[in-house]
Amino acid sequence: MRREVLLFALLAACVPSSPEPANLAAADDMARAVDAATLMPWVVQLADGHLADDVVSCEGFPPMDRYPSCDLSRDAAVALVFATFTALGYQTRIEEQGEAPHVARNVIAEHAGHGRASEVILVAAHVDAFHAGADDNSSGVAAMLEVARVVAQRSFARTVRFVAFDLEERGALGSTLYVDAGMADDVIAAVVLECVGFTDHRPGSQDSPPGLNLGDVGDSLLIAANGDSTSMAQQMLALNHALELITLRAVIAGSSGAFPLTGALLRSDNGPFWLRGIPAVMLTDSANYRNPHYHQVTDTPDTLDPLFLAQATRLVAATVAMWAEPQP
Amino acid sequence: MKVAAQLGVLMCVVSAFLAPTQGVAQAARVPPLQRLEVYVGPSSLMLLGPVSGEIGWAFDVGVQGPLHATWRWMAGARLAMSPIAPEMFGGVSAQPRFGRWSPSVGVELGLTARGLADQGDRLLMELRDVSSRDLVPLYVALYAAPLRFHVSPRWRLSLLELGVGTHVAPFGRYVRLQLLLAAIGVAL
Repeated sequence: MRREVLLFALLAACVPSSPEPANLAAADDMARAVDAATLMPWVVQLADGHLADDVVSCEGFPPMDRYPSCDLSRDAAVALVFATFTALGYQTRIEEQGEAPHVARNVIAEHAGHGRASEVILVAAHVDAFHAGADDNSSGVAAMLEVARVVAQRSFARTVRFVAFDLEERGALGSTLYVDAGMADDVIAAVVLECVGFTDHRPGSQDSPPGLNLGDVGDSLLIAANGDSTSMAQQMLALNHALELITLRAVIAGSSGAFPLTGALLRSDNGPFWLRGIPAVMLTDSANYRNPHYHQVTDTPDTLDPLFLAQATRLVAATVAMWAEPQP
Repeated sequence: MKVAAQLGVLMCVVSAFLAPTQGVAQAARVPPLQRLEVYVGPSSLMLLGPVSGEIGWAFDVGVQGPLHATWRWMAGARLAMSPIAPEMFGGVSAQPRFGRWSPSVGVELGLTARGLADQGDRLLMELRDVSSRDLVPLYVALYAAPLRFHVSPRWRLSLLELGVGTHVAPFGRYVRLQLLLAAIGVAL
């Protein structure tokens, strides 16, 4: 058995394990460019859209505890994301994949690089949601849109791609079909945003999947990484430490990360990336391990922590700058 | 399952007919470790993957023979229907003898035709398909049979034989938990 198989470790939150991050000044500039005031209005708009939207087919997906399968919507959010990317100046397209009635409509926008355009930094968040879906995952989509706004104003050597994955709540369907079709084979680093807006500062508010320890207080952002993306997590920890953005923890699942004990880390849009060997990390507030409103009608914008969401967004913006190589 | 049970009974009957050709008295003089043994028993097989977990029932049929000292070889089949597909296996085990008690530990190598993609719920089906697509149909397992007793010179009874294994590649992605609930063996 390889040494790292079945090995996963909780890295200390405040101890950077890399030297000073690359492009630190540009990363700081990107983080500062994030406008926190735009985030919650986007969350509200997305949540209102979900509530007013038609639900998608739940054929083959019977409702279960904490899985209200027949209350899933996406069309209004897809339209909003498409319109926002387009308004920001991106070449935007909707890629439809899958078989009826479960056709995923992934929204893809790209900011072409100059010099190393074939190397892609991907930022993703799933656009479908149960009920209002404020934390899960309007928070992630809002963060992605704000990072897209900041990226659109700058130039990079590498290509930056944004993907709003559809039907994550149907078993990472949109991302699995996207990655399985080879559409992410040019990605050198992916950051998946999965619930990034909820905190609870009371002791005992943080739960953990079996075998992992996410701490006792639900106030940190979590990076989930595998063997292929360990260095990405280390770089993000170091960057976060240098910029003093947010309380950050990392969980590293060894090798591919695809083992029974680490399965909880695989059930989002990072899963297909990990299985294909594409470096990817997931950023999350740990969803159901912290948020009592997970998949409930009570997952509404007023339950979110706007400052936490803003700092998480700044970390993503800074991370993109660190990896995409800003150009003057 | 019904076919498997019938096959097990048939093997018992066949072995009962074979043994008298050696003579009961002669068979009793040969230590069980030096003789072939046929065994049958119901088993449970749990397969745990990164985004799936399934359990099913099977019927194990096998034969064991002497190898060296307390070491014995074995070969057999695990007969079952959906979601557990038929499997063939072979291996070696150490079976020291302490009076009637003869615990066993060993290693098993097997071929499994088990398909995962078309099993289970619709939820996560695509991800499950991707995660199992590159599975090599060869597995390895370690097993232990601590409650194994020779109840007579010819008959052996074993309870709760536990095996833990994985497909050899990708190693560790799918973990097997095998539990042979009870097995009856007869020396030929």
